[in-house]
Amino acid sequence: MSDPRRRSWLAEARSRFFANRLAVFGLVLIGIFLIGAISHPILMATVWERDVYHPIYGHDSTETELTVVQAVTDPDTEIDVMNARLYDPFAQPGDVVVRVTLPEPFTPEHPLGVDNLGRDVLSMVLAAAAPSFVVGLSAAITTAIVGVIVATIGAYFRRGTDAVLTQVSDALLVLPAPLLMVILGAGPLRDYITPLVFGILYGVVSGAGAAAIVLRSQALTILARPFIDAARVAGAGWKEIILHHLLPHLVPVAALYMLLGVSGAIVADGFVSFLGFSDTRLNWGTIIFFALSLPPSNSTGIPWEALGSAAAAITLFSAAFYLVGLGVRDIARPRNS
Amino acid sequence: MRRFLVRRILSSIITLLLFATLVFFLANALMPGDFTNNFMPGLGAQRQVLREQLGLDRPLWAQWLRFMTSFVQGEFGVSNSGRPILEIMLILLPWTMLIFTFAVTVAFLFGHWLGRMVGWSRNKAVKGVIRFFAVTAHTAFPPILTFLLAIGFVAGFSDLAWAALQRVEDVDAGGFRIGRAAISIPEGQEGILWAMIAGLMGVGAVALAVGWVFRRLTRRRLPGVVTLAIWVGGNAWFWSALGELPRAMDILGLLLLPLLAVAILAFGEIALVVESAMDGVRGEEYILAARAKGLSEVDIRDHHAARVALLPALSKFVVSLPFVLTGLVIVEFSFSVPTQYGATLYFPGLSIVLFRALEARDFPLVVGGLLFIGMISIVARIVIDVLHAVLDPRIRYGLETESEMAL
Repeated sequence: MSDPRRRSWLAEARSRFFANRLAVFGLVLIGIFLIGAISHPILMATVWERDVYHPIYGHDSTETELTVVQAVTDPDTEIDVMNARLYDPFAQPGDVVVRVTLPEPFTPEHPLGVDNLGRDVLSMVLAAAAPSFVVGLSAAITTAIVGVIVATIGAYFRRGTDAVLTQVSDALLVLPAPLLMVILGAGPLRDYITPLVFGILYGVVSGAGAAAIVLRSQALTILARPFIDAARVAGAGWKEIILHHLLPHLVPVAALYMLLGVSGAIVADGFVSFLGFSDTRLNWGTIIFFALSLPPSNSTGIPWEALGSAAAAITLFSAAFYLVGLGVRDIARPRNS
Repeated sequence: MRRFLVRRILSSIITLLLFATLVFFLANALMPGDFTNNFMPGLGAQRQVLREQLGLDRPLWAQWLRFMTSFVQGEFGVSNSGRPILEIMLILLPWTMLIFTFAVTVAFLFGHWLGRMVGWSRNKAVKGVIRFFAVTAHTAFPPILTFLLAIGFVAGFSDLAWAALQRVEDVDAGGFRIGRAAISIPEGQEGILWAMIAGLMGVGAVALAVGWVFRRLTRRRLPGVVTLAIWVGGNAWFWSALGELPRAMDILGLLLLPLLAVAILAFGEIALVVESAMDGVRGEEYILAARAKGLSEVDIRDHHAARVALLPALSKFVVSLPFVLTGLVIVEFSFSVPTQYGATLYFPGLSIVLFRALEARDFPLVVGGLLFIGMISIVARIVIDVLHAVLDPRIRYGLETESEMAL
């Protein structure tokens, strides 16, 4: 670390990354999601009452007792027979029915409103951030590791090994990872698919597929450079060449693919939940699934609070990683300008 | 070129066989037990008979061998509903293919145009906004995108989506069933659909050829608008010549929303790649030379700089095509998810065989659906590779791999 040239590479990388405004914006977005993920358990433990704010079992509504009458004079305490029968099919004049109304959005209690069941949307969206980080990061790390291993072995040993690995990568590229995950999620193994398992499986498929194809051609161009020959002449073995000469050049590209892969995993995870195959797990796709499939309850008919928040969260979360990926690309392959 | 083609097709065949093997073993690993277990779990003796009939009592490698030999012979087996899978696929395939070819073309053209414009612009704020827009379009959650599009069209300026939904019911007459839920699939539309696909591609080729001839004759370029007009007009003429103009318009109206959704999901990546390639060549000497010759800025942008950006965009497309296809299947299905806010519509396409068959536990059909999706993306990849090789001689001679510049 005392080598001044190495430090300057880091400084160079940092300045290139921070020159890309959008990459910095992506980093800020990730930071916001991270804060959200951390703050949810804290809020649950301190400010938020469990009965009201629990992302799955919570519920908030106001109940008003209304007297059933023939002609309504005071709509706050009375209700006519026709409308009363929406709450109680056998309501007669003189009975008392209970009207349940969900809280309004944009209040201090419920900044993002509640969903069709009266659950606080902000709490749900924040609670879903942590599993999304688990899915996204485990997918990304697995993608990078598997991709680098497959690409390095293929590019270094060439010939038969390479041909076999390339064919496997091509076949895996054709196998769409999100569809595979849906099939997994619908099958009898669905109970074993935790966010971590989901991310790792997704990472193996996309890492040995798309990432390996790009990383392999990158590794080939690196291996064709003169310094590899120089190392070989100097007596370096294959371990030495791969670890000390090939990998350092491959890592930025792997990091790029890792970050771009996060959005794929997040969308796949959301889609599996959106289909309702994993409705016991909370993530942004589940929120959308419930918002679309439960009967509407607010006045506009469409639960925009739940839909909009979850959709914005899922899109911005994957966009954030993609934007940071663009910044990493500037490090891996600097622009001419 | 011929050697390249032969090599490319041979390796695609190996990929396809390997893919079929993967699908077979995955299907067996993901669904323990066998298919008979799902619909006659209690009936011991009868189940044994059926297992023997279906060959499920044999070891896995023997089953695999049987699966592969029938796959090579073009046999996909029979779905649990009793209908041959190939027949179902041939009815549904053209729907997906039409959206796929159309949307991919639109996405590529629009993405390339947008990337060209943004890459050449010096306005940093505009650049940032468009790049962010392209990224969010690419990472948008497909079901929400389709929902917004449907709501927008229904509640907004047009009743197009609604009209399209109703027309599905018109074409629905005479469908067949998958699983418990009676999902009717429109039959008898294959001819017109294939004709539309062929027309879109054929007229496109003719329009490009006209542009080439025009350039040869007059030494000037045909404006892109004219090429587009030839393409649109040519297709309209082709459909009316077939006497199917109204039906073709109906089908286009029905497909417009999924087409838009897929195009939105796919254009962003292309725009980003083109944009960064354009940015990279701005300082090159040949651009300076073109400017010194007194060429117009538009000419330099579209014909000198953008040409360089075409190859990386194609390379990127090779890798992302399977994902676009997956996105298409997801979008198709999102339009068919029964919600509180619209008619329960079963959008015709491969998503039906995948997800509905999955719900109905019709596993032979799911495997067949996966195989067909794989075949589409392998064929699409060959087409793009050939295009790539035509444009870039280095690939033709095997000097570089096609994904070299995909970064």
